[in-house]
Amino acid sequence: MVTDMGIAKRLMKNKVFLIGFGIIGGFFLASLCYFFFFNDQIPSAPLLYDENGKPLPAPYKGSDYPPLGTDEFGRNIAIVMLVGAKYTIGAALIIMVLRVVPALFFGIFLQFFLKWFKRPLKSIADSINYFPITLLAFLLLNWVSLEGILMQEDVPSFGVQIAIYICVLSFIFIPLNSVLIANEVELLYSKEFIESSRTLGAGTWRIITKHIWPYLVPQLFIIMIREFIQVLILMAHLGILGIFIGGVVSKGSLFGRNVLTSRSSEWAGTLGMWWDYFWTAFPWIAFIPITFLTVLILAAKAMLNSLESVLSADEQAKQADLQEPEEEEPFAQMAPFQLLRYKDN
Amino acid sequence: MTAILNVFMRFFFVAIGLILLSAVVGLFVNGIHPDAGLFITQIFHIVKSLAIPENLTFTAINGAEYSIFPHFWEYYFYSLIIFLSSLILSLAMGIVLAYITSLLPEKKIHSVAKTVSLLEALPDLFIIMIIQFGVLVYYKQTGTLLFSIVSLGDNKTYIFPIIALALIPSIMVYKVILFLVKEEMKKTYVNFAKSTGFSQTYIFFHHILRNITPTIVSHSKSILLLLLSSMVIFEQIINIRGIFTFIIENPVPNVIAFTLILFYLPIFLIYALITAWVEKATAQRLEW
Repeated sequence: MVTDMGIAKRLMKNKVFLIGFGIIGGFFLASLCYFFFFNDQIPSAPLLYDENGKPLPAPYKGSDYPPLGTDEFGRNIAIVMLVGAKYTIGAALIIMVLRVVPALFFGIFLQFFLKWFKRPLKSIADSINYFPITLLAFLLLNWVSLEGILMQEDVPSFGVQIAIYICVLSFIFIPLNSVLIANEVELLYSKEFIESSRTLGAGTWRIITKHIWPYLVPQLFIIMIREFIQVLILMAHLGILGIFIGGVVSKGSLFGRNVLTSRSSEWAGTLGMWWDYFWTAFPWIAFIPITFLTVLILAAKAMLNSLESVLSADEQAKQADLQEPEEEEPFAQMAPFQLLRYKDN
Repeated sequence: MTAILNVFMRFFFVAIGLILLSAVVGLFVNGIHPDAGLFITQIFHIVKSLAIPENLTFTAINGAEYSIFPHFWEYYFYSLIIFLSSLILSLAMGIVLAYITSLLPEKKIHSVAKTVSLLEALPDLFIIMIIQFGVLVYYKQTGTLLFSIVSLGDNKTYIFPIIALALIPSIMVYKVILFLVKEEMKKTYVNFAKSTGFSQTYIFFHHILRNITPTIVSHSKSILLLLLSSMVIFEQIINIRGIFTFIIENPVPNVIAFTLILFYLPIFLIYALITAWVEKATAQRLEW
C-alpha cells in the first residue's frame, strides 16, 4: 500500500525531488567546503597575452581562462560563483524560516484566540500586495546601499548589514503568512474528525498538537519552498536595484575605474553588479549569475512539484482506503441522459 | 447597499495599509529611526498631503521644491498603459494557449501541464535577458530592430515591456485555465454537447470558458501582484520613466502613498466592476 510508507521515504524515492535537492545541497556544501579549505580565496588570472605577445585586458572569455572566464578584475568567475553560493542559499534559507516559523505561531494564535481580528488584519495585510514588495524592500534597505552610506558617517559592519537585510526581507511577510496559515488551520478545524474529537472532550491544546499539527506540517513545507523561490527572486530584484547582501564596496579595477562590488559576492548581488555587461562586448558575463539563479529556482520548483504530487497521491490513497472500491459508476450518480461508453484501453 | 459599503471599505483598508507602510518607509531614511512620534507625524503629513495635493512636492537637484504636477501624470499613464495592456495580454495568451492544448489528446495534456508548471518558476529577469539577447542577435544578423529594447529620452517603448511583462503571468494563467478546463471536460454537459455535434472550439469558447470565468477572475489577483512586482524591476532595466522609477527617485512618504493609492484605484475599480458583473450573471460572490 502507498500509505504505509512515510512521506519522507517516498520523497527519497522520487527522482525529480532528489535532483532538485541534490542541486541545492550540492552548491551549498561545495561552497562551504571551499570556505573551510581555502578560506574563500578568489584566484585572479595572470595577465594573458595574445599571439603577438601584447597583453590582453580583462575580462577574459571562458575559452581563454576556463571554465567561465574572469571579470573586470581578472577574478575567476567560477570561483566567485562558488564563494557566493553559500551566502545566496544560506540567506534564502534563513529568510524562508523566519518568514514561516513566526507566522506559524501567530497564525495559530490568531485562529484560536483572536478570531475577530482576522478580517481587519487580512484587509490591511492585503494592502502589502499593492505595495510592490521589491519596491518596499528597496526603500527600507536603501540606506544600507552605497547612496545611503554616502549620506552618513558610520557604515554598519558586514554582519550588521547582513542581519538588517535578512530582517527586512523576512518581517514584511509575516502578517501575510500568518493570515495564510490561520486560513489553513481554519480549513483543518472544520474537518469531521476534529469535530468528533471535540465532542469527546479534547481541549484546544490537544487538538492543535495531536490533530492539526500532523496535517499542517506537509503544508508548511510547501509554503516554505514557495517562500524560498520568492526570496531568491526578490533578492535578484534587489541586486538589480543595487542592494547586495552585506552591502557594497567600491573597488578600483586594473585600469583605475571604480566599480561597485558586492562584499559577499553572492549571486543576486553579482547579478546586479554584472547586469550592465550585457551592453558591453562581454555579454556572457551578465548571463552567468542569472543562469545560476535560474537553475537554483528551477531546482526548488522541482522539489515543490514532486512534494505536491506525493502529497496529493497520499490524499487520494487515503480516500481510496476509506471508500469501498467501485467497479462501475452507480446508476444513481448518473445524469438522466448520460452516454454509456465502453472503457478505453 | 451594504455590498457597496463593503466594497468601499475594502478600498479604504488598502489605502490605510498603504499609508501605514509609506510612513514606515519614512522611518528608514538615512538609518533606522524607530520613533513612534516621528511615525505619527509622518502619518499626519501623508493624510494632509492626500487632502491637499499641493503639498506633494519633490526636491530638484538645485534644492528647490516643486509640485509633482503636472509632470506626474505622464509617469502615471505610461505605467498604467503598460500594466493594463500586459494584464490583458497575459489573460488572452493564457486562454488561447489553453484552447490549443485542450485539442491535444489527454495523455499529452498531462505532460504539457507538468512542463509548464516548471517553466512558471523562471525568474522574470531571466526571461527579459533572453528576449533582449534574442532581439540583439536578430538585429546583428539582419539589421532590423524588431522593437526597441530600451527606452531612451522621449522615445517611449511599449511593445517590449508589455510582452516581456506578460510572459510569466500568461504561463500562470495558462496553468490555471488548463487545470480548470481539464476538470470541466469531465462534466456531463460537455459530453452531451459533443454528442449533439458541437465542435470542440464552440464548446470551449461558449460553454467551458463561460463556466470557468468566475474562477479565473478570483485567481487573477495573484497574477496582478506578480505583474506589479515585476514592473518595478522592468522599469529600471528598460529605462521606463514610470511611477516606480518616480518613487525610487523621490522616496518621500507622502509621494509614495499618493502614487500607490492612485495606482491601486483603477485596479480596484476594474475588480469591483467585474465582481459585480459576475455576481449578476452567475449569482456567485467572488472573494478577491
